[in-house]
Amino acid sequence: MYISSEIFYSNGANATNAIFGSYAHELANILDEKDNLPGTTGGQGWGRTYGGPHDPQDKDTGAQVEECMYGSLQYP
Amino acid sequence: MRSTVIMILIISVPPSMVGEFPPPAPWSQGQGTKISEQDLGGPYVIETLDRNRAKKEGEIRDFIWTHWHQKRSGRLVATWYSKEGVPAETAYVLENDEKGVWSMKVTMQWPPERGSDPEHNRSEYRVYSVRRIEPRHDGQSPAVFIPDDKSTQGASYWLVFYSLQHKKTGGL
Repeated sequence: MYISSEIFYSNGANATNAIFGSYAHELANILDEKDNLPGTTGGQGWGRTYGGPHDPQDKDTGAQVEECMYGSLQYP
Repeated sequence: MRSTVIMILIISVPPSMVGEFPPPAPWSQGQGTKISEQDLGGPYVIETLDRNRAKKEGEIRDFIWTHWHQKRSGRLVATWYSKEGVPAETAYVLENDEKGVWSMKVTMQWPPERGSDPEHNRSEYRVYSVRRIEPRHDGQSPAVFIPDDKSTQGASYWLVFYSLQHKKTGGL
């Protein structure tokens, strides 16, 4: 799993949420890619089976999980 | 010699261009709606770790809400970079639809993705209702709507978009 060092080593006010949120985000994408082939929900790519197709920030499954956890994507 | 040169120039013009009007200006989009320059927003670029994310997203929300509420035609383009660094360009065009109903067309474009159909790299939907809600800190709590006539800054609310059938179709 890759998380950018700028997030992982950040010390911003929201760093803890950003680190845990990013970890959950990427874990969800990996689990989705393990369980689902692309194209199962109308031609979507890997890791987007449960994503939000109209989400302007990120349409992958991980973004939906992070939004479930925190209400929005988390940044430091 | 002079007449030969003129002759060559005329022949070199493609037949498809004869009698053709110039292409429409980039801000003349959708159902023939002409949008003035002050009603053009962006282009915004919001990088993954953008220090001005809250400010830029607030400005985008303010632009959309103001134009929507005042029924003023407008167009705004913004590119967001995901946590994985993938850019997605979104265009918000506020205009009447083909039946003259006030609406907003949202068009999104992504670069080709691993395993996806080329058609899946672009999406377009039309919004018929826009509401403002208080920011939420989890995905479970019910939405708290902000009255349409209440004045508030774009950084302190979120937008929810609804379809003609009143289903939530997107947001920001």
